[in-house]
Amino acid sequence: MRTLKPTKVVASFDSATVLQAALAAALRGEPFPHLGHSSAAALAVRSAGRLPWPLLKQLYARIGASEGIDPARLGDVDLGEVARALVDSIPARPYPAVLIGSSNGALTHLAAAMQVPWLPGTVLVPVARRGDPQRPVDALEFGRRTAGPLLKRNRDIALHHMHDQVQDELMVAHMTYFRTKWQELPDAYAAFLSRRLMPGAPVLLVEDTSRWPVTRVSERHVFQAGAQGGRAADYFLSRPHTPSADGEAPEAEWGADAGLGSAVRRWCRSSGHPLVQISYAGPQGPAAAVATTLREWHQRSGAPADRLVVPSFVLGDPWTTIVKGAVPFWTFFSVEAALDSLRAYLEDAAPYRYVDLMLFQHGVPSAGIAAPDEWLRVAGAGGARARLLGLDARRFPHDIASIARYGRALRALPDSGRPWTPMDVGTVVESLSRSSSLSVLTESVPAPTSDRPAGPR
Amino acid sequence: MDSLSGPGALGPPSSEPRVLVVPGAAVRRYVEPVTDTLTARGVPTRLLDAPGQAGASADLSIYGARLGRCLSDGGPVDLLVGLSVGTQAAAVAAAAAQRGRVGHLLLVGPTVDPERRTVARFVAAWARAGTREDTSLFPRQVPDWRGAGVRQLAGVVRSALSVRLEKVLADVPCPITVVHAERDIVTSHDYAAGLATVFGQQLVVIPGATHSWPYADGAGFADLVAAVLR
Repeated sequence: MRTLKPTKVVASFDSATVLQAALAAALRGEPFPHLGHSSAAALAVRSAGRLPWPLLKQLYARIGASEGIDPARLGDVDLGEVARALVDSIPARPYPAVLIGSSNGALTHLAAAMQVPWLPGTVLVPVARRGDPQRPVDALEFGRRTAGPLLKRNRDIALHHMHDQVQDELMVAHMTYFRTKWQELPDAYAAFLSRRLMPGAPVLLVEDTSRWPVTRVSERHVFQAGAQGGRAADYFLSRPHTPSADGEAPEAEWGADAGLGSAVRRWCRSSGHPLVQISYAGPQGPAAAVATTLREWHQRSGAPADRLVVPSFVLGDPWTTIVKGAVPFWTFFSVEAALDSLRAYLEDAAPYRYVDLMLFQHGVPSAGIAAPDEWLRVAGAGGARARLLGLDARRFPHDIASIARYGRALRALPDSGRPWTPMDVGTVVESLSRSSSLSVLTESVPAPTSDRPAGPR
Repeated sequence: MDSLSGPGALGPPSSEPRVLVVPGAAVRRYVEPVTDTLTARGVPTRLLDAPGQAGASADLSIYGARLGRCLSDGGPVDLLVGLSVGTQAAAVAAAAAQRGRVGHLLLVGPTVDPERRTVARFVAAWARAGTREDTSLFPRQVPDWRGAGVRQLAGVVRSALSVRLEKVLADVPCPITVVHAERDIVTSHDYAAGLATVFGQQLVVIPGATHSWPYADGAGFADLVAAVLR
């Protein structure tokens, strides 16, 4: 049986894998500029960013499309190997906690401050396919025809075939998005937890409870028209050439599969590790609670904590943000819902002196998008000095080169100069518990009996 | 290491916080402003001979064992600080000393990261790290190295590669704080964080700092010591 390399299977622009890579860099004490790509690649992107948009648009779509795997090779995809690769990217040392489950940029920043890893519950497998972005029904039929070997080889996953012609218009003309969710604990994850979790350390199960109408294709295969972003599900379902929904399922990109949660719970009970379940409705849910928690943490160390950094989707660098003494308020996309969330947070929080904004660029003025001037207005409403970080607002929403500039821009922020020590996990759990936008439940277990390990390696 | 040769060498017991500092490989002079800052703040601090310095053992185990005996025979210290390879000697001393003689062990830039545990890798990392340091540091260290001689320096490197800090720390009974400078490339963040985590102790990260950061930031170092003593 042939197996594709994990690097050939998952998309380099996938929220889960990029956020996980950013966190792994933070666990190594390293910045995460240009989404983890090489400096040479970043230079090329910055250069290409100067091209006229019609030309750059073609280039962007073609490069993205080149990541799509041949549908004839879906049977060669082993997501267990992907889980192993994700685990292998994490520095091999003991950890006082591990996060597992839904993708969330706010929580990866929090994990970086605690210096604990996160194991994603969902990864994106991009599949090569040419088609009309405005005909989701064709994408559904393509998935019905081709997904069988993937599901047969990977018995522990559910396939959430996602088609979002609003946010991903340029990409879905050349590929289709197979988002896969583990319904069991992958062997590599279980081995990692057994080997790296310190005795008595908790597992933090992250569950985004957001759901989306879907068309069921088979027991472990659903089709989702649209996605979390600028518009609600009805907007997508009412469009022409869109299959009718016959049920609901966890949202393809962010939602948590209950199967993985059950498996993690079973693992905790059998191994004697406490389980802390953190759940929230939608990817924007934890941002304010995380910002509050990290601001208090900075302030306890004597830092002014008067700079708010606003990462956007995969644009962000947890390590540098923390080292600079900045407070992150992560936004899931540059859309109105995220902007509203930032507005609500700033109205409630003590004023910041600086607000630095990153806005992820997907290349199209999609419905529900929030423009730079709107962000600047909200960010500066309380008197803060608001600015865009590494973004050329004139090119919005197709300043693609911002992915190669945000790292430098973050690095150029003034150093906090204040020593810091990783956040205590118990303090974090207690702080998150105070938030009304999150539910935090701790499932205790009998006190651990094993001794501490003998060495760090 | 004649200054640590016998009982009472560390002076009489005192109710004041007392800090001992073990410098890095055969270099002592560059740390003097740091210890002066601490003393000026009312924290009685003593800078010990550097491992490999003329008259002091280049073998970190021997150096540490001797220091441990002195600590056992003399008054207790509130804080024992190791800098760079001095962390290995300080850890050996804290493990060897009678329980209660060292209140707290502070490891600043702990060595040697397993990823650098060959002569070539260690020296290369050290040389690269030097390019990140304040330009006035090197001229300040050269006279100390010249005084120590190549043989002693080679002895320190050999010893540093053989003393496994992660094993020694298992026998240290007092609290430990591991300090890692963000831009330190002699020691990786991963190694420093692992040392702190595995022994259930505290990691402190110094933003923007390099391996020999106390030299350039005596006040910051004094703040850190004061925080640990609190």
